[in-house]
Amino acid sequence: MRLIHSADWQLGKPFGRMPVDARAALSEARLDAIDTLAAAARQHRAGHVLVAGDVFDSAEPGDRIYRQALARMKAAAGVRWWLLPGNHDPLRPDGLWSRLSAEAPENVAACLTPAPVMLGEDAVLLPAPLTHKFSLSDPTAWFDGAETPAGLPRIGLAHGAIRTFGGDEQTNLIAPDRARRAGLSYLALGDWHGLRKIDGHTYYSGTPEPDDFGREATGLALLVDVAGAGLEPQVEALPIGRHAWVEERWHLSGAEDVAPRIAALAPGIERKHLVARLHLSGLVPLAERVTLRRLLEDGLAHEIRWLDLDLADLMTRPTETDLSEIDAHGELRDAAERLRAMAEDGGTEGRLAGAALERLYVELMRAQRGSEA
Amino acid sequence: MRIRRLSIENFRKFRAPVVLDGFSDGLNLVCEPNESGKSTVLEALRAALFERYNSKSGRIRSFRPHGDDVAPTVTVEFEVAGGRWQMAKRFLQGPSVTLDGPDGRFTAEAAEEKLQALLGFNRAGNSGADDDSRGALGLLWVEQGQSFQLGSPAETARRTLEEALASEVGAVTGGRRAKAVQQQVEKALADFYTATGKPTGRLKQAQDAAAASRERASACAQELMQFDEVLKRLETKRNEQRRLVRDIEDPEADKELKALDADIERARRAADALRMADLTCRSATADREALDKRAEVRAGLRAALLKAETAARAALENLNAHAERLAQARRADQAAAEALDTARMQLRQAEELQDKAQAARRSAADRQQLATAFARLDRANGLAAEIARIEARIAGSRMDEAADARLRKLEAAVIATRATLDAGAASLSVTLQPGAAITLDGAPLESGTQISLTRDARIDIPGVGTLAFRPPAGSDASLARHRAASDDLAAFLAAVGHADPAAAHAAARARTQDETARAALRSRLEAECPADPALGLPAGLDALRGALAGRDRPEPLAPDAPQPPAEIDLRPFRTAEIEATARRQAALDSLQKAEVRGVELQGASDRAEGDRLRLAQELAADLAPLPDADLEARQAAARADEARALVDRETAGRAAKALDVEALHQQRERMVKKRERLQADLPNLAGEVARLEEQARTLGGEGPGQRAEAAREEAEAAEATHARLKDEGDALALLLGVLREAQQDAARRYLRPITRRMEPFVRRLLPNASLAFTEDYKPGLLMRGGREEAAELLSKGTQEQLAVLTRIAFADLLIDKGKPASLVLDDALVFSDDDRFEVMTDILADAARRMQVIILSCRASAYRTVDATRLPLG
Repeated sequence: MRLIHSADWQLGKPFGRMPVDARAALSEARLDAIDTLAAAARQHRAGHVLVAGDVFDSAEPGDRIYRQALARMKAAAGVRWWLLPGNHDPLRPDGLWSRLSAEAPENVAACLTPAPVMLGEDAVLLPAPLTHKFSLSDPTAWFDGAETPAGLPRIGLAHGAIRTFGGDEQTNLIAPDRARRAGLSYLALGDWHGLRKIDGHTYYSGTPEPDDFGREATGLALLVDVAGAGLEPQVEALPIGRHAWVEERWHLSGAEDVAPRIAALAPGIERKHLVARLHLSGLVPLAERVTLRRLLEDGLAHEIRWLDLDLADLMTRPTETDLSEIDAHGELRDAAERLRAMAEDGGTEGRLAGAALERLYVELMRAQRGSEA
Repeated sequence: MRIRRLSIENFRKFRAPVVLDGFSDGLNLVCEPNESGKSTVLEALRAALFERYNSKSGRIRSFRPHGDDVAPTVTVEFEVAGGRWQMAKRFLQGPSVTLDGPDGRFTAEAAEEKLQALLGFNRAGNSGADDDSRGALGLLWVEQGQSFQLGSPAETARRTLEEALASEVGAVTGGRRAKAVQQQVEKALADFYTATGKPTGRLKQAQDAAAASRERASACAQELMQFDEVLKRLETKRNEQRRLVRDIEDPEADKELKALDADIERARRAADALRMADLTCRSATADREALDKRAEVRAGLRAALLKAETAARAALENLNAHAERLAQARRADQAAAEALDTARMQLRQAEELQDKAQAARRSAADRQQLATAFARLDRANGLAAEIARIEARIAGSRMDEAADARLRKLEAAVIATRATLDAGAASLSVTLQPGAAITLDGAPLESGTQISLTRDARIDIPGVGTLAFRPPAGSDASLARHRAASDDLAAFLAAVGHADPAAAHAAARARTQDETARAALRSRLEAECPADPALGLPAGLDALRGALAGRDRPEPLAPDAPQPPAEIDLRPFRTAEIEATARRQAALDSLQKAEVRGVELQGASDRAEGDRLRLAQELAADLAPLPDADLEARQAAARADEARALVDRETAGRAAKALDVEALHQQRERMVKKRERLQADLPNLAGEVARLEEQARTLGGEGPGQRAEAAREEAEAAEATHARLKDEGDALALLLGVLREAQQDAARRYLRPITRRMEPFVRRLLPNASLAFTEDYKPGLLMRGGREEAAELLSKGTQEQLAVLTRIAFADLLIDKGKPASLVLDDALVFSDDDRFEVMTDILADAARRMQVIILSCRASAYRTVDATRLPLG
């Protein structure tokens, strides 16, 4: 019994903070992941793709996303899709899932009932659909007592956090030893956007198309070979995602540090598929700050899909050179000194003064360039 | 620079050459009245230096005296930088310029250029010189009405000043770079904030975009909430519908309904059974009561019979006892009857005798009476005959009272007419000889006759002849009346049948007498015929006659006739009879009572016997079909039946009570109603569900969840953009502010030479005050008593004074730096009060020690005390 375990497609995720084109590309990539998954299933001769919840980003994703998803799944001949409502798209009466189960193509099954269902002829699927964004009870609790034909492997499909994750997660908690307790050959989990192995029978596949920073292993799907009841399955991660989301912290001492770091950023990843968040820190001269900003904002930002630049911790220290570049004396120098003094006082006003000083510098350079030209 | 000599010709009002000569180094005063051409002098001086000789501009042409095509010409002799120069400039006609000085002679453009270089001004433009081209001297040579202007110097003048301030300016300003940066920043800021600090341009757009996206996000969230509402509602409705259908199709309810129907049937049957048991019970009770009644009746019969028998016996005894009393009474009655008979017989006899005697007496009386009546009749008849006779006479006489009266009237008329006639008639007295027989109209005339002749008369005297008389004609009428009266009388008499009136009168008297007699007779007759009750007669003759008509006149009684018998005393007989009658009556009463009593007793006896018989019969009849023993047996059976029926009814009652058919019916009704109601609700609910489903489908298709999320994120992004832009704008604003502050500080610094020079002047004019310049050399703020006042808000007088002082300071600065400078004031200080004017002239006099000062004024008296070189005009 071979299947592909995926989860957290979150189709229709808006990426509202990004520019419109990045938004469209990232959104489209999530739909494209369906095609990639289908291709992977065909390639590895996996007849079933289990999607462990959060197929859609919201319970009401809109007709375009909905139709696109169905059309793409339908197009994947020979693959049977098993979709589970997650906390993003919980099962609600008369909601998305009611529509979907009525309109879905033949090869798409919505798992809306917590009851065993035959997964082809060789296994039994125990789905745990979520009916609310948050629920305090373990949706997989019923697996333990579920009666299934003897001899067939039991495969669980659920969405939620494992109790041992700790942190703030207090809802949709799934017992970490559910697979053992319920005699599951495999428990396909969703919710955690990165790949995560809980035990030999329990995995989070993560989302097939990365959608946030800070995930170690993401953009994958799991190819699972269920050997039989009681035996550990063979699990292999397949790369599916298109975009890489990279978050880095660069401590800089000068503009000269930037170029090599840019060059070394996300090796092996096409720039156009890179989404980066850079937290810059350090104390740099005014002129270098202007330079490095130009390098990042006018260079890298346009090369990659989206750059989220965080300069909050990049401190500027106008040097004597900076100031003398502004003017040896005279009113501009005077203004620069004043701003530097204000910036050193810190606070909101200081931050503003720093920005003003940087602007003064930039404007001076510009004026100079203008006069030179 | 010092002006030494000025010659003006064909310039405005000066057609003839005017020469101002002998300008001293210090204070020069040209004091002339208005209209004498002081301002023209300054104009000519400025034209000569600053205007190009070959210019043909309007202003140049306006220099020509009105209507003359002459060439305005100005010659100026001046000293500058230690050399003495003479410049002659001719405009318009044969324009020329020559400049002679230590460096030689210059003409035309070369002269102009040399002049510009010497005095530090610029070549005038095509339209003539302006403030900018005139340079510093233009600023210091103040035309009439310009002295109080606090404006900033024009560019050339400023540059000259800056050159004078060069070292300082260079040290403190950023020069053109600073200006360019400031302009850049201003331009950049203009895309964020307006001059008054309101968001505009990009910032405004971002702000608006943030607000709009916030609104959109809130609208989307609202939509999502609505959608959630719809889903929730749909779920509720659907659950409702499910419950409803379940309730409608509830098999339990069916079962319950069926059970209810069965219960109702059972209850109905129980009720029927109870009704039957009740009927049976009532019937058993009735049977038992009937038998009880019969037994009771039978006992009553028996008692009544016993009583009747006793009564019958008593009645018979009473009857028998009464028979003896009755016989006695009969006997007593018999005896009394006989005694009565005797008494009655005796009485009858006595009465008969009495009757006979009475009849005899009555007969005698009747006879007497009749005889009297007849006697009266006889008298009455006599009277009646007499009356008849008299009445016959009365009837024969026509002379009744009325006729008599008539007669008297007629007679009176005759007499009256006669008298009339006689009065007019011839009176004829006849006296005849005895025997003579004459006739009058045939009637013999007696002697002694007195005749009145009233008519034609003829007297025949036999033998003699005839005498005819004719009364006079007037007597005819009287005669006629007389005749008529006489005729009437005669006619009356004839009618009454009397020959003459006397007879008639007699007849009337006779008749009256007869009537009197008749009345007397009638009274007598009436007295004779009284009513006679004894005979039953009414009054009147006819009655009497009638009563007696059939009666015979009794014979007169013979004197010997026996006397009628005397009356018998009947009273003893009568008394005896009455007593006997009373006794008989008493006996009869007793008998009657006894008989009544006997009848009563007989009746009682009969009745008692009848009762006894009837009762005996009834008892027998009652007993015949049902002897006592049978009755008792039946009574016992009936009682047993009744007891059984009561028990049955009690049982049935309990059964019926256990199943309240009414309550069961109500319960069933409720269930049926509920089901009907549920069924009625179902379509509405289904419709609502369908509507909500459609709504959910439509709303869901729009993807409210995703839209809400996207809108929220976009709003956050827009907010962030706005914040970023605001930061940028704020940084720009801060930068601009700092730049301006720095610039002001710099200006203050490089203007210090000017302010320093100004200070003593200002202090002299306004104690404890100081003046600050703006960076463009304009008096900006006046500080006094710790207060700052904008210079352009000061009084016109003060402004002018400050303007003049500023120019002194500028001139001082220029002279210090070896640049040409002199001060010319035309009609300045006109707004100054006397004290200020004095201070100002002192300052000017003081300045004149350092520079040439030329004052053009119309106020000779004001400058009288001023120590100056006075130059006459002309």
